[in-house]
Amino acid sequence: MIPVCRQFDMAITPYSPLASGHLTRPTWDSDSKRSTTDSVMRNKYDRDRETDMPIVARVAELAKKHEVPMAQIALAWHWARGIEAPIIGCSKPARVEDGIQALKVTLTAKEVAYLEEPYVAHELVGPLARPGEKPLAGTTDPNA
Amino acid sequence: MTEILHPVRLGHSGIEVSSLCLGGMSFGEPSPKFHQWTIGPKETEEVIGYAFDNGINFIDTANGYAFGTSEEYIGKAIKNLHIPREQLVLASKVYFNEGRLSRKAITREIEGTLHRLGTDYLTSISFIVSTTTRLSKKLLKHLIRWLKQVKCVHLVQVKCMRINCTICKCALNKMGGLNLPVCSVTTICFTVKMNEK
Repeated sequence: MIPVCRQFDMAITPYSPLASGHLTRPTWDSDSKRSTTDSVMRNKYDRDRETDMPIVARVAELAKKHEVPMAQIALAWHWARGIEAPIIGCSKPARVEDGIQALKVTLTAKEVAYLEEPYVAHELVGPLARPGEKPLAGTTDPNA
Repeated sequence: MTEILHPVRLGHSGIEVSSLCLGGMSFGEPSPKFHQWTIGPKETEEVIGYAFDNGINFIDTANGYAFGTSEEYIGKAIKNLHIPREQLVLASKVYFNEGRLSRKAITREIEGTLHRLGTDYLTSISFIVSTTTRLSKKLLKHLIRWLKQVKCVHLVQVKCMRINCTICKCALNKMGGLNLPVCSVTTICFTVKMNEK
């Protein structure tokens, strides 16, 4: 898909670049209001917990090395990959500032590869199902 | 706003946005039927004010986020902060609403979005579609005819779900035939620019 977007000169502006917060802390669960109440988030991400945790650990490791919050490493990965503008949700100005500071973080090609190395392809999350197929995780559809 | 934060182009639309887009799903009235962790109007204003003051000019929301209160709080914040509309790129969506993408639904939903945001145009809008029926030439023509009628929407995003390259190219060719250059993708969204009106 990405090469096709480039071929047609389209920008890429992904949502959920921090995976509903999973890339912002070393543990999968947290006691935040979102973590404890958001079933859509659980539906989208929990099934891949085991395969995603090694990546979370590597994000934490690089965050320590760069002396920045984990969110900044996750965002920096997007820009290192040529993404135009990740879409981030912010519940307070300090979170916006984290995002802005992330623009100063530069990952080396080696670091990008290190983050991606444990990745395995996931089931689709968010899209509409094909007609006749059961709904996929992460689609908020009050009219379904 | 000072200068746009690390400006990037939304493809060949020429629209300049910051390298960070502020997502609207965090704003709105908390509800057990949607999200309980969304923030109120005052907090929304603080977040948007901070973002705008630091060069973030791009906000993405949806008609359905927190049952319309995300758009409402964003609209209030823009008004209270006296942010000039032309300095913002505002994006919203149509699909997860009664009537989906019928002509009637599109009209009602976009009018509602404009009202809630307190603006007379959207810079960009997502129509969520999937690969089979929803990407028909008929649908695209319908959307575009409606948008031309309104004259206030400069961009259209067609969000193509479960897309693959063949379908992507096919959709783009169809849009190309309708003189709509495609300029951005939100994960699996196309943005196409309307002819200037």
